Amino acid sequence: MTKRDDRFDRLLDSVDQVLGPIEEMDADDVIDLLEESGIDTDALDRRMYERLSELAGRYHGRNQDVPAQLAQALNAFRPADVPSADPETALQRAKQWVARRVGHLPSARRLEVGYSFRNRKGELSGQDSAVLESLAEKLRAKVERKD
Amino acid sequence: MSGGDRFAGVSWPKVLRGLTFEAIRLFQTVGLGHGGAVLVGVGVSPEDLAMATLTKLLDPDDRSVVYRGGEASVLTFLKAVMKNDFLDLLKRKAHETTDILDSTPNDQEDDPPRSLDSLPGKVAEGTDVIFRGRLRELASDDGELVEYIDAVFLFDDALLKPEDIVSLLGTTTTDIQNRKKRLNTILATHPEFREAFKR
Repeated sequence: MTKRDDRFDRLLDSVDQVLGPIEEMDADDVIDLLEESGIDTDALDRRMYERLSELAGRYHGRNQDVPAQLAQALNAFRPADVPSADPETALQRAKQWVARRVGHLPSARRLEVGYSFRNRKGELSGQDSAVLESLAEKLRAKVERKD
Repeated sequence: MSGGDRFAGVSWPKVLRGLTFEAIRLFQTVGLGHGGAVLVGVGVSPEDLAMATLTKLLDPDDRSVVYRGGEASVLTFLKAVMKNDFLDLLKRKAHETTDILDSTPNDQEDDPPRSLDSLPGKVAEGTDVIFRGRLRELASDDGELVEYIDAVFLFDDALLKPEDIVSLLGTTTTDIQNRKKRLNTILATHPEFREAFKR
């Protein structure tokens, strides 16, 4: 057998090296890059679902069970608006739907920080107020990061 | 071992997205390797290529792709499958398209590609030099990226390892990851490559 030319492999190795292998990329970064490349990931998932549904239909047509990995992938790609007969899948979809909506709710609140002082008489000095305000800002930033 | 067990824990949407982005890179690489040539006319988009590759794995009737598990992840395994399919695709389409630069018809159509010279873009010696040049050109507004590209390709006969690049540039692994991310974004958003995906 003739050995395949390895120049393309070398070229791709250099691509992996300079851009980083896909396997090492963060899943959210991959979604962002796909969107920036003009690929709608929801539409991509839907197309894949349709393709796999067609494939599953062939097994149904032959009165055969749909292979486990195919059924697994069908559930994973099933769009939210396509009902599932499997209660577990339906529950998972509902949870994902709620999580997506809740996750995108803008935060309407601004954290208010209250102070109380034991044994303090009189007003706070300007310097004290500045220190407290700076601490409050740090606290707000910390809470927002956690959100 | 059933298919379900072998693939337990695999996130199929994640695999598809990874494969699709890898397919974009394959298309870009050939385009980049030819100083701006694009794959207009090939007739298959990166999404088509990625979906076809994943479908092969998921269909037990298709015995051309069998994943036995082991060390390579499903994504790594499918990347290799897709690369071979991409080479086949380029070769098969070579005689059908006139839009790809330097198209070289090959009279051994049914053989697997054995030489890059038989591919539509004629990936010849020095392609990596052209590739590097095009990357530098695209990243020219960002000095850190140009410095990084030069470091990766410092030696003609071997690519520097990530840890050597970190040490050579006197920076951190996180900074290198960040530069890779910026470079990926430049490629993803560059109009020349978005154009390449038109059929």
